[in-house]
Parts: sequence; structure tokens; C-alpha cells
Amino acid sequence: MSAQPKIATAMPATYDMDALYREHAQTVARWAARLGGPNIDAEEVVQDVFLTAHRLLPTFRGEAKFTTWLFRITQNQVRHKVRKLKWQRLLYGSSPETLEGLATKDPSPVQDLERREAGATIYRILDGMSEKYRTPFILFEIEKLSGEEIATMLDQKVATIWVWLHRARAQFLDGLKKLEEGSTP
Amino acid sequence: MNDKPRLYDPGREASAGADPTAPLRQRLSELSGPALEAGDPMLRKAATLLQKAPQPRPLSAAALDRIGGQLATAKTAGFLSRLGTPTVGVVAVVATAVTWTALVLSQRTPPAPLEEVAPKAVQEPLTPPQAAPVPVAKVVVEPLPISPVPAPVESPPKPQVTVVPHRNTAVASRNTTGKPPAVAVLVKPESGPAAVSAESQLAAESRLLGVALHQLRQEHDAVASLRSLDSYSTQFPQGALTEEAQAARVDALLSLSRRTEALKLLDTTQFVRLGRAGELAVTRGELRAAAGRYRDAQADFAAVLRGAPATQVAERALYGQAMCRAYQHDTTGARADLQDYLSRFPAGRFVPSVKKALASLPGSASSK
Repeated sequence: MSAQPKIATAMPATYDMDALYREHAQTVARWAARLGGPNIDAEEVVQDVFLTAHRLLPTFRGEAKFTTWLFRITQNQVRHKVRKLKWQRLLYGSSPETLEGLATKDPSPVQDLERREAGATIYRILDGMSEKYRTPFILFEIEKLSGEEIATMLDQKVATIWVWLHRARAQFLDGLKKLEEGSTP
Repeated sequence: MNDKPRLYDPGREASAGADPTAPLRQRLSELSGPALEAGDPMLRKAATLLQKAPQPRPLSAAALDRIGGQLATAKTAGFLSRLGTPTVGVVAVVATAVTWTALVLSQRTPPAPLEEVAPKAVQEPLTPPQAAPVPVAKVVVEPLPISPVPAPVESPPKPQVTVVPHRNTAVASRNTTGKPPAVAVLVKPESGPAAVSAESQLAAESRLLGVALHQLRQEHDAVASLRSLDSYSTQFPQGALTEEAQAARVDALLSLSRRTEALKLLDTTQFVRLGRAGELAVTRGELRAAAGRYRDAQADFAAVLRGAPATQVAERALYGQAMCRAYQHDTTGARADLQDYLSRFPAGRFVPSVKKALASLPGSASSK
């Protein structure tokens, strides 16, 4: 783990879970959608994240920023859901994302499918990457966070993040290449 | 610290002119070595792909409220669990002791003359001075059948009643008034659904469901509609219009994009009486397909198509069946369905998708 000094938190001794929820719910939803891709149910993740946070908050010692702590919970929840989805795919078939939106009453299902196609491709490549590199890559390339912000969220040195990003890019490009060649990334 | 360049950066797009990735490729080639040389078409493709990454939709106000409600419930549960088993045990013992004492005291209290009890009891619940709360709404005192009716008492319109002996026989034997011992009649609350007759219950169900449907279809307020439907379910758990209410709930959930809940409801509810049972089956198939449950979905679509439903429902079912077959690598079946779709619905809403799918199926002219 990083030798970077921990960021002192402004977490009060008594906390208001409702206020924390109101403040961070949308951020967690965005993280969930970004980390989990188009198949993840962000609402479900948000609920699970805050229920977990509520349960664990008394043990939160304030050694890291609250958002860092929350991000870690989100990461774990998304990891769990993605694993579950992979099992579902094995059981029920592949590419569930391609029919995503079929039940909507959008005027053009084609547009809907095309809109999701890019997202599905990105996450198909990301699924093939190691999680260590995947997360900083998403935060940097898609979520557009700065290197320092990512370092804070992942509790790592900034230099470490750049190294990870460098490797993540290589993995992403390799995945894209494989996808184009017709093999699974 | 300055940020390193991204594969795709909308902020730099304008300044970079026609090629937003140009300044980045140089940097990436420095970082990545020979495999990622500047001008690598892969970098260009990656940048273009990342540019199209969809923006996540923020949670709706309804979703936020719903999760907030779950949190509130969890907080309450957490408080109770923090109290711990010993505390709960002590509370239970104390409550039992108080109740037992109250019962003993109430039995030692001589009963009031019936003339006094009867009119008073009609007006208020049975709450003896030291008695534990008794779950009754109103008490009326009636004579035994062998005696003439002494006086009329107010009673709710045709309530469901349970007749129980008044306290115990010892009390009756101490009756010194010379009048027959009384019995207490426990009456369920007037406001409860059991208090109304079958006809008026149906009317009440219909009224409440009507409100929910109006909120959903006229006012386009699915959240309010769901609240009304919750109220319906609470008041009429075995209501005659339960199927209609569940179908309305599915509509409301879908209009709020709460697909997981809608699917759960459709998975667990049988719609057999409704005229739109076929449409609901297709919706369930579509939701199952979207969840990756192609086999289940295909079964739904096939069942609907067997029933020769209305055109629009058949159109959706046929398209759904074709897509499910395609995603399960049943190319022959998918192609047959897609061609069938084009012949049956030449101006259908899925025609562009169907043509695209036909062209992309393995073995088709354009896919070779």
C-alpha cells in the first residue's frame, strides 16, 4: 500500500447518514455506472453501498477521505454484481446488453441499440482487463478525473497511478485489437 | 500536478482541430514504446470509442426517495439490534407481568350493573380501569338468546362479529341484578375492509384502483400511482381486482424505469383474467431478454405467438423471439422469424432493426 500520508477527514464524531446519503448518492450512482458498465443496476448498487456504509460507519476511523472509503465500498459492490452478471451470462447466454432497452417504448429500438453499442464494446474490453488497471483507466479516461484525484480515491501515490494508467492503456488497446480480430478480449 | 493527456479529451478537441487525438498520440507513443507509435490506428479507434462512452443517467428523485426509505428502515432495525437480546427479554418479562397483574385485578373488580355497562360500552372501547389493552374496537352487551332483548344497542352496519363469553362464568355467577348474564361481542373496526359488504368492497376497490390509474395515465404521476396501489394492496390483499392492480403496478414501475422490480412482479404474478395478458407476457419476455434470460423470454414470446394475439403484441413477440434466437446462436430460427416479421409487418416499427439483424446473421450475403 502507499506510503502517502493519509488524508485527515472532516468526518464528525456523530454523523448524519441521511445527509451523507443526500450528498453522495448521485456520485455513487455515477461510479457504479462507470465501473459496472451498461448492465449494472446503479440504483441497486447505491442502495447496497449506503446500507453497507450505514453498517460500517461506526468503524470508519477517518484515516482516509470519506469519499475514498465510499468509493472502496462501491468498488466491492460493483465487483460482486459484475461477478453475478457473469454467472448469469454463463447460465442464460451471452451479450445481455445487446437486448438492453428492448422493453422500452422508445420510438426507435435501432437508435437505442446503436447508442448502447459503443458502451457495450468499451465494457467488453474493460471486462478483459485486470481490475487493478481497469479502475484507474475508467476514472481517468471516462470519468475524466485527474491523476491526483484518482490517487486519493484509490489511496495510492500519484506516480503509481501513472504507471497503472500506462499499463491500462496498453491492455485496453490490446483488448480492442483482439475484439477487432474476432477473438474475445 | 499537471494531468497527462487522455486518449480522448473533449476539452482539447477544439484546440486540436480535426484530430482530437493528435497531441495525445505523441505522448502515448512516448509512454508506450514501439507498440503504440504515433499514428497507430488503434489509438485513433480507442479515442473514438471512448468519445462515445455513454453518460450515466442520474438517479431519479423517486429512486432516491426509495433508497432513503430503505436506509431509514435499516436504521430502525439497527437501533433494535443494538438494544440487544437481554434488553428485549427484560422488556418482555415486564410487559408480561404488567398484563398478568392487570388481568388479575380486573377479575377481582366486581362487575358494574348491566344497566350501566350496556350504554357506556356502546360508546367506547372496553377499557377496564386497570385492564391491559384489549384488541377490540367496540363492545356491546347482548342478552342470551333465552331472554327478551332488553334495549336496542347501536351497532355498526353488518359488522363481522365474534361472540365470546363475558370474562368468565364466575363473573356471571356473581351477577346480583337478576338479569341474565351478558356476553361481550368483539367487533372488528368499522373502518376495516371486512366491515363493508362484498358489493361495497368491490366499489371501494374499484374507486381506489381508479385513482391509481388516473394518476398513472392522466396525471402521469407514477410515484403517486404506486402509493395508491400500495394502499390498495394493504386494504385489499385478496381483492377482486388484484390482477388489475398488479398490471397497473407493472406499468407504473416501467414508466419509472424500475425494470428489475417490474420483472420481479411479472415473474411472480399470473395474469389469467386480463384482456391484456398477452401484452404483459410480451413485456415480461422483453424484460427477461434484457436481463439475459433468453430461454425464459423465448418461451414467453412463443406462448404469445401460439395464442394468435392482436397485431401489435404479435409484432413485438415475433421480433423478441427472433432476437432471442439470434443471441442463442439459433441462426436458422432467427432468420425464419425475421423473414416472417418482414412479410407480416412490412411497415412495422422494428423493420430497420430486422433488416440490420438479417444482414448481420452468419451466412447472410453481407456478413460474408
